[in-house]
Amino acid sequence: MAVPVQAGGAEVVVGRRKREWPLAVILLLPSAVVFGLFVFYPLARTIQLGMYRSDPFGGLGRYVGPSQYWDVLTSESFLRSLGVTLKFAALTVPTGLGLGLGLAVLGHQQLRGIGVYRTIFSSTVATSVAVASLMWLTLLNPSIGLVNQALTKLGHEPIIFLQRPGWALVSVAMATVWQNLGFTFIVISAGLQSVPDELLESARIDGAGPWRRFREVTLPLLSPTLLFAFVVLSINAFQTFGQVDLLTHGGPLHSTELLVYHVFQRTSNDPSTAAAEAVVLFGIVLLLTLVQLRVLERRVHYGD
Amino acid sequence: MTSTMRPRFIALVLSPILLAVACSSGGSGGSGGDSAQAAAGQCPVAALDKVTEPVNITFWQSGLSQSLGDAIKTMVGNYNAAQQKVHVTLQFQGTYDEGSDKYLTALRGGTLPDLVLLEETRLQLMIDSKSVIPAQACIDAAKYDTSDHLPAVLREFTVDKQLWPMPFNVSNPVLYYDTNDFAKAGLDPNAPPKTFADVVAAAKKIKASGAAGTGLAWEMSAWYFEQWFAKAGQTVVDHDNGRAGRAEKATLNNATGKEILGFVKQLFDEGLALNVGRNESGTDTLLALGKGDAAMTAYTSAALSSIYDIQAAGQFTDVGVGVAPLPGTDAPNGGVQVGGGALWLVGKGKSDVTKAASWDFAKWLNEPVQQALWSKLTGYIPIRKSAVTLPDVADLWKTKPTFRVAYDQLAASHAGGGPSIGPYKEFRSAIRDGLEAMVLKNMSVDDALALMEKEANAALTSYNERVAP
Amino acid sequence: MATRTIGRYALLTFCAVVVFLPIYVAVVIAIQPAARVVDFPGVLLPKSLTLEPFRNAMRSGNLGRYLVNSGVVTAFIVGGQVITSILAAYAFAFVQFPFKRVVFTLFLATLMVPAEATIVANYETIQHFGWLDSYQALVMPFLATAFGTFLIRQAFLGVPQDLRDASALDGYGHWGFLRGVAVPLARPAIAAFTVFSFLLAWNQYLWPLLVTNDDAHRTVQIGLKSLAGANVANLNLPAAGAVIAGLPIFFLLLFFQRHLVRGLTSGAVKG
Repeated sequence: MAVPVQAGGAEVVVGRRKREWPLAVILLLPSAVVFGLFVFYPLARTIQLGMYRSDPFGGLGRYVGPSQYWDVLTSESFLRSLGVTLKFAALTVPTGLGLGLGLAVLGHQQLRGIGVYRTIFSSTVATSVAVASLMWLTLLNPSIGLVNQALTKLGHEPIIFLQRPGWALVSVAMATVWQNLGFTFIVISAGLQSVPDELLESARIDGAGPWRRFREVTLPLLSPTLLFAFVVLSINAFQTFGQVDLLTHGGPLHSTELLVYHVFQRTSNDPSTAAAEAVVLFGIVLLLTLVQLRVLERRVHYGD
Repeated sequence: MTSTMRPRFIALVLSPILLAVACSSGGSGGSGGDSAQAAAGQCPVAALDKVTEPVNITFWQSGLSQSLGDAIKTMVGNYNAAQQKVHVTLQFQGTYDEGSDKYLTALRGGTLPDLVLLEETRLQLMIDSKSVIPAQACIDAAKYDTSDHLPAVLREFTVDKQLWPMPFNVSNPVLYYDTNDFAKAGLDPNAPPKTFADVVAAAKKIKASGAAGTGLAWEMSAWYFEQWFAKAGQTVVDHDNGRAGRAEKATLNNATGKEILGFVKQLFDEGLALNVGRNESGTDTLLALGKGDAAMTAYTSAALSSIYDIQAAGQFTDVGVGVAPLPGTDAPNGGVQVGGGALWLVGKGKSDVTKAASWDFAKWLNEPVQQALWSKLTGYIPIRKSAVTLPDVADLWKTKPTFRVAYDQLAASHAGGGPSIGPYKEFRSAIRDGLEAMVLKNMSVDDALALMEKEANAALTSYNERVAP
Repeated sequence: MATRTIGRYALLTFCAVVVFLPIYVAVVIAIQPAARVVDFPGVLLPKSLTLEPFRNAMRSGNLGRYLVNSGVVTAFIVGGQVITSILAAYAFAFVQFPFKRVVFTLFLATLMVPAEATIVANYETIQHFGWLDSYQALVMPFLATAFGTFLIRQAFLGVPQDLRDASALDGYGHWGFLRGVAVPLARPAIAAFTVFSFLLAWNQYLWPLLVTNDDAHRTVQIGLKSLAGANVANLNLPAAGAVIAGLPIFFLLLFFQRHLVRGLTSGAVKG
């Protein structure tokens, strides 16, 4: 694959392109086949289904056309769920990123026994959504949840965390941030580890304090990792399902009815409306992510 | 490489579409089992007589988890051991909702089970799926006698004079109360409340005496709301709850609806009830009783076994377990309705022997002996009148008379079947929205009823225009 | 200096307690008789221990066989994802080809398709291939992920230009550079991704429930969900199930973390 050195500069690039194109195909093919078959093809099916009015038994039903997408986008219940989802993202993404970064910085210190702390900070990755939700249920259950048992012992009325408007979404957000924390911690820690000690050392010799070293050396080098974590957490927020399914079932009064849950609830009985909603949801997330990448990638430092 | 790849890939990708289209157009041509004469031919009960090797059938159960799941395993094991003609393979499919969703997905060309246990709320949906044979066809073909079955149970699963699934695990809502709290509050533990007014009066005394935190533990569920309509002899949707024609409109916004919501509103306005939310774990109202946060709650009769189990394990032993019929307004043509699961005989793509085998197993599960054992293992109500004279039930009733309350309540019910509607989940969600808006957001009774009707009607219209245009 | 160290430990310990509390609660509830659940705060300091909840959970959730299935499925998914992601990431980071930006965007877009939107169509595909009730059904749709591609691409982009130039001079071809330079340098990212991939694979629920019916192929999360159902008599059953399903991952994490740290330190990119 080595490029013949004797060729002229401009020709090298052209020659390379000619040669590299098949290589790219080989490298991308395995992923592309999987995505084509299990993501894009079903997506196309879903887009098609979104233009019909289907019964729950697998029939395509009556064709109504693309107007169903507009109907969905402007429907009260969809907009309500979109609002809940945006609120949820605002509650979980900055908190998750902030706490993950904080813990990673704490865990990055050179102290005796720091390994134990690192293990604990990453421990929530050992929980699945189902496991984490069951754990939070044991804490937040109105009768036997430990939090409420503690409140009652202190002479306070029990709080129905998961079924009170105002509390419910915050509780689901809390469980979500907690469950994601291990992952965020690991990813950001990995990023911190690859910040070269020499750079920090030379900054220290130049007289930079810990805060300035963090802001001017660590943070810029960490930015690709942070961008990754940010995008992942945002996408997660828009695709949260399990916590809602296990903790609140979208209630009370739809206050925790995140978009994916909203769509899923409809899927069995009204598959075509659900399909249209899923496609609109996909469009929104795609748009958001592209904007995030466009805006943020400019500020990200890739080290070359 | 890509150029040779592409046509194949597209063909690969397209074929399921074509397949799905082909299937759906074929399926919609069917006429469903609406004629009784055709029904007799639908269930070849005699096919099993000629078999020489065991017929294997697959049985999907959903909704029965943990100890209930163990109990159904026992029943299947007993059946397989008791005879040679049929072998049943039991497969658990998650919650009732998941089981139903899974069945709908499998309808799209996947492998359907031969027999499927689904919640009573899926009645109309399963009929509309055109993939099942009505049990009535087998009953007619085999001249099977249903006179020993509880009439209320048969009514629940009968639409257009046809019994659709074979009933199996049946419960109904009862009032659980702590007899010790009642005594402490100066109430007669042997005279539980019968009407809404009784409940309010008892709740006031309980709260004032401090016998428990408050009167009633309340869950945001549409089930009790439907049951109160049934007790009052009212339907919740038109066309006789969808039994005499397809339901089109909800019938909630009337005097009965106002009375029920008025009762609920009074409880919360006067601090006589504790809202535990949707009680998805199924334990929250009972635990509130156990912990002394409340002294009464409405819940399924099927929980009674678990309650005694938990006390036997040494928990909540200070609770005196009282069980009473669900309080509410009664009418001569009213009563509680059945909740629980029923056995659907799948017809789509099934051979005669398979259908006959499924029927044989469903019939076996309905035998008085099996119903008595099932009731003993789980606490579900035996659906056969003669089952209650068998030792498994009779002995239990002697030692724990609380177990017969739900049976007696159901035996005395004159209510017709509950709503037979396709969008049951959405219907319940509509009712819950109204309840939650009233309790949590202080909406008025009239507005809450209007909200329920509006959402319920939208769900019915959407379903009907897609399924029966 | 000493007070500062104490302060650091105090902060670390506080954070550790908060993070670990839900796990601790689940564990102590799972190892005590059910009756203790409502005995707060006594339940937090176990006195009488029992394995009964675990035995019950193993039995009613059929967790033994399901754990094996989860292990097999997860191993295949993780292996497949790591390989396909490294290959794709390499293409995006180091290979010149037309429409790169468009293809990359398409890859990223796969992350945003909600699984719930594609699940029914995917069921039909799997059914069409005759893969219902098989490991293929559980593995094939997940053999590639844009998460991995994205994460590893980020790491590859961090490989300094002079290293690339140097290896070009050494006569490394693309494969040599991939194996000899890029992958070793991206080890922290690959390690982190492996953890992540493992978790996603291990924790799947909806899809396995849909495409499997028999005990021979079902995974542990399905058993777990059946334990989440209602039963007042076994208040600690869900906690016990959660601990059983979580334990393998927890130990893997303990084991993996050393590798992770080693990978992180040895593979650190020096500018």
